[in-house]
Amino acid sequence: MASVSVRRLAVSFGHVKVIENLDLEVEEGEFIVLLGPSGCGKSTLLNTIAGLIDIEAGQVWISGKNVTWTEPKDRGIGMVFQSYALYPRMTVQQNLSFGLRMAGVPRAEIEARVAKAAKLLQLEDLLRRRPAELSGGQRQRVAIGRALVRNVDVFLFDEPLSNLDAKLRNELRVEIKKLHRDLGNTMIYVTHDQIEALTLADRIAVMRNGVIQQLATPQDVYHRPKNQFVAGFIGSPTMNFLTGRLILGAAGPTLDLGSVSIDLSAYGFARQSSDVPAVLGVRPEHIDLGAASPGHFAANGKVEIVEPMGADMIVWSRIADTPVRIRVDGDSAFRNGDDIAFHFDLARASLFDAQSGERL
Amino acid sequence: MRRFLSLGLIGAALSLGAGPALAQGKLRAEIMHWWTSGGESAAVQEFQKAFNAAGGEWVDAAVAGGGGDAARTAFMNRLAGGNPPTAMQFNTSKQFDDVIAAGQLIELDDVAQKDGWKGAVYGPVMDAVTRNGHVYAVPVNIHNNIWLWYNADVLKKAGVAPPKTWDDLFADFDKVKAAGVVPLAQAGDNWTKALTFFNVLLGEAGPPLYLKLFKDLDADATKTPEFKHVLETFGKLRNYVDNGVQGRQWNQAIGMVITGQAAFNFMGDWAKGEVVSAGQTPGNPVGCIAGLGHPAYWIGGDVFVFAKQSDPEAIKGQKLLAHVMLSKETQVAFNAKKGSVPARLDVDNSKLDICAQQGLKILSENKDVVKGFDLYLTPDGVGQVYDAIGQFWSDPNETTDQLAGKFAEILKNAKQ
Amino acid sequence: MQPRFRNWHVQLALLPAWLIVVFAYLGTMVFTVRMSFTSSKGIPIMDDVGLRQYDRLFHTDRWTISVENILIFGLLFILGCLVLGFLLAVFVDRLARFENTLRTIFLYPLAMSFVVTGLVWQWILNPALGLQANVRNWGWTSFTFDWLEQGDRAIYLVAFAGIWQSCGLVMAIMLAGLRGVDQELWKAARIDGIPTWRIYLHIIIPALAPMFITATLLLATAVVRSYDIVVAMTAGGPGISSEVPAKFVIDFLFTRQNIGLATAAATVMLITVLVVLMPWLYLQYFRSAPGARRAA
Ligand SMILES: Nc1ncnc2c1ncn2[C@@H]1O[C@H](COP(=O)(O)OP(=O)(O)OP(=O)(O)O)[C@@H](O)[C@H]1O
Ligand SMILES: [Mg+2]
Repeated sequence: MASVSVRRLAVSFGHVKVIENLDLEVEEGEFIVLLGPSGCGKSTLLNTIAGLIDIEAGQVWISGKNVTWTEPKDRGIGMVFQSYALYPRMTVQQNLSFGLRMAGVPRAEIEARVAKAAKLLQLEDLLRRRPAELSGGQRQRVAIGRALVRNVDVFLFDEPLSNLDAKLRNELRVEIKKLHRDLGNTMIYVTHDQIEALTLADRIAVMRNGVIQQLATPQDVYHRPKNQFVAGFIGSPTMNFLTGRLILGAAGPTLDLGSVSIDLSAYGFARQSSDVPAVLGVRPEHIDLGAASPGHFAANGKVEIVEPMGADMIVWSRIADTPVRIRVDGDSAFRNGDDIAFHFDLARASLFDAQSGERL
Repeated sequence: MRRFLSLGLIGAALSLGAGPALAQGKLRAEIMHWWTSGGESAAVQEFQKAFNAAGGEWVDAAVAGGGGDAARTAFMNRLAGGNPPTAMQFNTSKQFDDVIAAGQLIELDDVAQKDGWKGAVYGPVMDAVTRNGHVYAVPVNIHNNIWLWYNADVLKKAGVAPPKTWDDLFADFDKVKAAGVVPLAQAGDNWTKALTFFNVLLGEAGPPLYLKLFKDLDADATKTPEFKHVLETFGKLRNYVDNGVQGRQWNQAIGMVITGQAAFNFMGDWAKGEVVSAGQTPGNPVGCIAGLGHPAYWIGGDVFVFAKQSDPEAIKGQKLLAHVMLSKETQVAFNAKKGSVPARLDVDNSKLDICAQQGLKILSENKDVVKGFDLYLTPDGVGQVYDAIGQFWSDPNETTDQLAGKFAEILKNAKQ
Repeated sequence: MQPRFRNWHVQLALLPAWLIVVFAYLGTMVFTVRMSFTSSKGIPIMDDVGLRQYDRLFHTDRWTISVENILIFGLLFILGCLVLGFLLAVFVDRLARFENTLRTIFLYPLAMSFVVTGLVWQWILNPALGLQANVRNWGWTSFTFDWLEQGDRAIYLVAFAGIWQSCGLVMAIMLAGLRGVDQELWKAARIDGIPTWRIYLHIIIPALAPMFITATLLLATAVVRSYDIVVAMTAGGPGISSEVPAKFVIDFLFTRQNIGLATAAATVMLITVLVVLMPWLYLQYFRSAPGARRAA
């Protein structure tokens, strides 16, 4: 049984349609990350699941119940916000217990739940403090605690870490991952940080303009992006794209880049079509230096720019006039103008229809 | 000794810019006053004409507002700043006592001597401008504050005659009320209620009790049955007003009598200005009674004082102005427009209206003439009387004994 | 050179400001207090009569009434403005579509001075001219609303007119505050299932505490200085039943020519304000320096 299921959802603000005909099935205990550029409708989708936005059409089911017209408090969800949204003048203790008190939960039960959440999130020493007296990380832990004490099946997170600095973000990310491991609840998590998405998610839903482009495991999204948008959105530095023409010749399929032709025999086609404009995507980390291995495409070029990044180094060169990034070891010593030879495995590359952007 | 505190360094520096008193051979004088209504400024014009004709140059410094409060405040400020105007209006009262005590006014003994003020000016008024044998102000007019105004047409319709006694008045009130007209038009300001109170005190009890109270400051007089009766009578008046008293100005109150909305109103003779400006002649239909039950004259009025100046030419101008203001011709011309009677009695009064004649008769008998209580009390004391009367009027729970106690307190304080 | 004199030219530039503070503010304050120990009437003199003016002050009905009135007026005015201003702000906030119109309507009275406000309400509430007279004209002849004529009621009407005039200001402040409330806070509260009125009461109002403090301070200064609205609306009447301290001071300073008593009253007002303000300043100081508190 799906834990959360969104069916044929449509949402609009005034005349602006933000989401149209969206389906999403989330399994029990699954950690789903909604990933996408700003304004693509991630928060809108999350708020719709929470019941904070009226929908135009479609249904929302949570734990087997149709909750489309149910009040947020009765949907069995807890939510954590980017701005923490803590009740400003209340202590941590009160922040955690206020909702329960309103719901008429017995006092002893409230205390037990608050104590449990506080222990889990290491908030025990902070219970007397007010939000203004807490650090950003502490505040977000309280916000998570407030969702925890509700004893619900589904947690919704709307960019909970984006107000924190990089170090805290990493720490808390691990904590959330542990929390999921320990509690086993369903979690839907919005972010536009792909590292968060890749590290946390069981499955990632990559969104664009209100449409889920691909819903798959992090490996699939990374290695077998469904279209050129997903390919370009995931991965840093961005994937290299080589635009040419797909030709299914007698000698096998090739991508004609004009001056250069790439043999695609080693590529695992998803579907075949001939003589169409196509784009070959190769991740910078999948290009190796040195002599070619069999089945790899090899090329020579000059170093144009060197970008050291600590552990790694990005070297810019060219294949048939198209600039390409190559990710090499950070200790390498390259200088502009050096001659280099490089190659990549076509089995790890992705080929897209240039017009539709779909994977070929 | 009282030390006059001069805040005046800056003021004095500023005043250096003020022009010389002598301009083109004329004696320049700046006169500060609060006569700004239509009839009042017409009267002031008479002074100005006379002074300019006598070789002076009248510079008008009228300050409107608050029945003279604003002008007096402005004068005090300029005095403290070392830049006083040449002449300043005050009521015939103790308002300028402080300024005399501070040694800020010139004496007019020589002018008074030369022009023979002593014989000509009405005695009590002359007393009011004299301190320790020195004359400090020119009296310019005499008002009677104690008048009962009534609308004869309204009385006729209600089938009653103008009252002769206070009992008559209350009988009239009841009949008028039954006829559907407001019996007594009363204004909201506390001083107007105080004026009504003094009508009762002087009309019902007569001048002796008044003098015992305010001249002798005899607190025991507040415990007499006569005074209690006065307070009770005053309290009874509250039953005959409409409930639009609060916020009503004195001219709106007399206006109710003029238009027949109300039958009676207690007000000083400046109310006549409203009668005249409504196109009526005093006496028809709005009649007047100076002191109901006991014809009396409570003299009020205005004076001018002259602040000390360093420039000898300025002092000349001040003395010329004092002379001109109290000369016979100016007095007649000024008072005809002002509605009051001249401060000197040796002028032709035949042209004055019927109400003024009634007042003059009392004045000339010189029997039931009293000075205003503001001549006996400081402005502070006057204010306490207003407060006490206003509070009594608006608080139905306050007893006459409580009010009498407050009067005793005020008189005791004034005696110190 | 000693470090504290290094910036002497800065201090020199600030000299005029210092002179103004010392003479214009402290100077007049000290002068006022000094005058309250003299017997000054219409003109300031420098004798010493000890506490005589204070003794008289506290035995003067008019002062006691003034103090009572300012408490009634102040309490009603501040509470009324805060409550009504806040409710209006919520109303406008919820009806965002008509915001501009509504805001203009509610802010309109603020464009009038207290004097005009006082006069307008004096006309409306005057039994002989305003509401009562009109309702009676329409046929309800027994209708009576003459609080303005009643000594023990008039001050409530003054407070009412004051609220009418000033609650728009509070609304504007509160509206700005409401707009500044994090929208996610609303969402969080809805998920917690908190009823709307409780969200306002327990979450929004506490979050708007700085707005309430600002508004209260603004209103409180208006209360202490309240003079013009009383003069225009009741002139302190009926009788002296709606007198207020500021009017007491001004009347005795000018009309009544008793500087000694007026400055005694002014001094009592000053001390009261300081006493009320002290704890607040104290709190403010410690709140702004939490480090100091923790270290202690
Ligand atoms: N209340 C609203 N009224 C009108 N349009 C809205 C409203 N809220 C969101 N939108 C629009 O809907 C679209 C989706 O917004 P949404 O907040 O879901 O984006 P998001 O993916 O969460 O972006 P971000 O990463 O910046 O948070 C945006 O184009 C936004 O402008
Ligand atoms: Mg968002």
